[in-house]
Order: sequence, then C-alpha cells, then structure tokens
Amino acid sequence: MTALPGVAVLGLVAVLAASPVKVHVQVVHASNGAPHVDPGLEKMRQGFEKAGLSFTSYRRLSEQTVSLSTGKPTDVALPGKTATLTLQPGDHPRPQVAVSVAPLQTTVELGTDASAFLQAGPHENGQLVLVLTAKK
Amino acid sequence: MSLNPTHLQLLSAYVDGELTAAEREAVERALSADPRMREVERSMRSLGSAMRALSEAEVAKADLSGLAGKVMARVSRRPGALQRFGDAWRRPWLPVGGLVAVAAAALFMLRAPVVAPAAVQGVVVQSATADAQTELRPVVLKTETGDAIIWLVDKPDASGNHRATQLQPDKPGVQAPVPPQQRRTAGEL
Repeated sequence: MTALPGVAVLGLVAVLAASPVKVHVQVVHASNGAPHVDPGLEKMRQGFEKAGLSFTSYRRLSEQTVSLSTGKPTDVALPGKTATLTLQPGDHPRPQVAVSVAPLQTTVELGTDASAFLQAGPHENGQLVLVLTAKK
Repeated sequence: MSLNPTHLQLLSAYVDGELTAAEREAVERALSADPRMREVERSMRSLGSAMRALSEAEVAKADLSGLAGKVMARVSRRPGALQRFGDAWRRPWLPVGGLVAVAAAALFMLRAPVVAPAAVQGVVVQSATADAQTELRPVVLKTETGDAIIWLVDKPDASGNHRATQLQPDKPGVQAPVPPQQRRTAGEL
C-alpha cells in the first residue's frame, strides 16, 4: 500500500515529462528594402539593430504554434526549405529544442519572455529568420 | 427743538428705561415741550414693540421640543473607547483576526531575506554549428531583453574575431560559437 503513492507520483512525473511543449514559430523576411516593420516585430528590429544587424524591412511571412513532443521531429515550412524542430529529452526547467535549418544546426533553451532568432538563409535580397518563442 | 444724535440717544435710553431719575425728568420736560420729540418717542416705542413681537413669534414658530433629547441621543450613541475595546473583544473573530494580522506582519518583517530570483535568462544557446561544406560559422548575439540571434557569418579572421561589436563582458553581446568538443549531447542533458 505504501508503494502506491510513489507509483502515482512517478506516473504523474512521467505524464508531465511527456507533455508536449508549445512553441510559437514565425518566419520573417528581413531585408534592406523599403522601410517597413510588421506589427509585433519592432522589438526584433531593435534587437537586431543593437546587435549590429541593421535591416530596414521586417515582414512576417508566416506564423504558427507547433506542439513539440520529446524526440518527435516537427517540420516547419519556409520558402524553399524546411526547418525541423525536435524537443530534446531530459529533465530541463525550460524546453530545449534542436533546430535544423540548412546550413544551421542548433539547440536552444527557450524562454517565454525571449525569442531565438535563427538565420535561415538568403531569400529575395534579404534573409529569412526563424523566430522561436516558447508559449506560456 | 432740533433732534441731534445726542437727543436721539437720550430718547432711546429713555424708552428702554436706562436713564437716571434726573435724566428721565429732563427728557420728560423736553417731551412735554416738543410735540415732534413726542412723535419720535412714540415711534421708538412702537418699533421696540414690533421687534419684540416679531422675535417672540419666531421663537414660538420654532419647534424646539425634544432638541435636548436629540442632542443627548447623538452624544450617547458613540460609545467610549473603553466600551468599544470591550465590544471588540467580545466578538471572537476580531481578536483572532488581529492576532493573525500581527503574526503575519511579524513574520514578514523577521523572515530571512529572500534571495531575489535571477533575472530572466532568456534564450540559452546550447550548441550551434553550420554544415561543414559551407564557409559559414554561427555567431550567437545576445540582446538586452534576453533574445538570442544565431547568425551565420564568414569564417573569422586571423585574430578570431567576428564582425560583431565587442561589448562589456557582463553585457549582452557576442557569445562565441560553441566548439564541437564542448557541446553537450542529448544523452548528457
């Protein structure tokens, strides 16, 4: 009988550990075309500018929320290519996501108050940027 | 006889009965000799009567019955501090609530200082590499708001520096690419 609560706790931990993580994914086209910043991308523009990446145009090509499960790759479509997101196994306080978008491979620990901006290759006189933000 | 202010003042005092016997006799002699002064004297008496009548009528109209009782009722409605204190302690929830509030305040003031949580870490880049066949290398740029920008740049120059601006060590800035031999694998996480 005493083992029953322990089993229940372990089961709960297992369920929680296996629960999917939601990630907000945006595909942004940054270029030096006519000055334009889509709504919600001003913070990105400011961050890029302070980092020395000065683009004049930030246009959101797509956005979606994906649900990532541990070890299961999830594809996100970009113009002319695909990015693959995989939630990493392990007991992490915050989700760790492996991202493959040629020619870049990276693993990032996401936060809900910050975003990861991944250069995803050239596109129409600019650059594609994959923006990942963990959903609360 | 012409009436000057002194005469009027004397006449008014006469009407009000405020003169000495000698003054009263002098005024009465003047009244008997001057009909105009008698007329003024009558007017003064009439005016005095009218004023008194009016005052009495106003007082009679005012309903002052029970005024004292109302005032005393108001005064006695607010209990004294001692009585209020006694009443409070007769309510069981009040002292208990007060003690809880005092205990909470004491606990709040005496508790060990809480270490402030670390600032939002933002995004942490565990690893970043580029395909071997490219001439690009990833550079991680951290922003003030905790964002991480992973950008592909040409291979670094001979000094090992990338084109990103050098910033203070404790400020958001360039995070050097993670060497492959230092990267953690999924199994180590």
